[in-house]
Amino acid sequence: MKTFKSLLWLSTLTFLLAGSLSAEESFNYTFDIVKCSKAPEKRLLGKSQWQSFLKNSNATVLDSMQGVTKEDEFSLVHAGQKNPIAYKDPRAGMYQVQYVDRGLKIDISIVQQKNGTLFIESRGERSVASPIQEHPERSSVMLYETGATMKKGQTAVVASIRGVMTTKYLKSQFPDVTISESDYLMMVITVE
Amino acid sequence: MKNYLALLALLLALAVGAHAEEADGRLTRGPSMLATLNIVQISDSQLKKLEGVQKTNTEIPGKVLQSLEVMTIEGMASLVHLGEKWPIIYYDPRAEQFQIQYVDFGGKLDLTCKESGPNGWKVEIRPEISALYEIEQMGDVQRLEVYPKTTVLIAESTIQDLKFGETSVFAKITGRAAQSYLEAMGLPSDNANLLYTLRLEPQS
Repeated sequence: MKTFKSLLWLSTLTFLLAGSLSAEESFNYTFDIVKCSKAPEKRLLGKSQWQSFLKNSNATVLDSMQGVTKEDEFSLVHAGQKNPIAYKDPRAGMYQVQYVDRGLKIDISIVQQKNGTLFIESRGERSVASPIQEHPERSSVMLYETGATMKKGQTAVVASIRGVMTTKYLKSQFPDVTISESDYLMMVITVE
Repeated sequence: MKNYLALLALLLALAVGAHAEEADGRLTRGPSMLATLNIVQISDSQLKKLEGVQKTNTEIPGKVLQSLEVMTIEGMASLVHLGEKWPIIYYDPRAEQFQIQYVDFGGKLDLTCKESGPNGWKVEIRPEISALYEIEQMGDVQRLEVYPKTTVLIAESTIQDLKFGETSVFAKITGRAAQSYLEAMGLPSDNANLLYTLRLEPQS
């Protein structure tokens, strides 16, 4: 009996230990859209370096959203609208509808790598209805889709846009914000 | 007691082994790098100096009209787009159903970097700067009622053996094509010489 109890105890301990070894971690992530008159020297920074950059460069966080994800699972946060595009199918004799997402949206998956870094696959998007009322189905968009490797606690400027050829699109995204041709619009991911 | 310890060691080894095997099944991705596309307007004299130049380690003097940056890793397709998406709905008789196709315009950069030789990168790149110049209204029931006409500047290319810190000059547009494009964008067209440049920098 004593032997059986000991064996049971040891087995429980072993499987608990094994469970903790293979437990998948959870991560907090933040998606920011930042306007700034200059860009940081490196686009991959520690969180405190990023906070200090924001403070010293007079940057404005125009939009921000946060989420939590489990390792190796897709996670999504979407704040906005789902807009229908409806059309009549004469053969089926009925209407069909396809939805277009608008607003702020982040799709992300995080995988812990053997070397300790995180592999982040993400797609961030901000879209608004076109300012031209005659064509309400048009969307004004800013989006990125990419993969990056970074450490937990770091901030990555995953995409940035600047220049005269796209200023009008930024103005339609943020009509109440003063944006000059030399301003950077950055899409930023932080993982903790 | 010895038997218990042996059993414990065996179970631990199995559990750790299983975990290691799971981790081994994953591909370890390389470090992040930053890809920067610039569209630079340069003078005629500067254009002459850059004749035949595909890569340079020196800065190109000129006005950066547009810059698009994306962080990427080896083998991963990356995209950044700022502009508009215009859905066009049409009936496809072959598929026997309506389809929606999106026309993108604005600034867009699509690229994939792959290792090529020691310290070099092969970059498949497709940048596009486009703008709406007219909205066509057909008034013909058999055709789409409304669709956009766009003016485009596209330079699709594969850049070979680009090293960190080097600038690749992978497209040049000069003369009337550049002039009419600049005019269409409402930009000064006195130096109608446009360069597409790409730079890769390590981030870790």
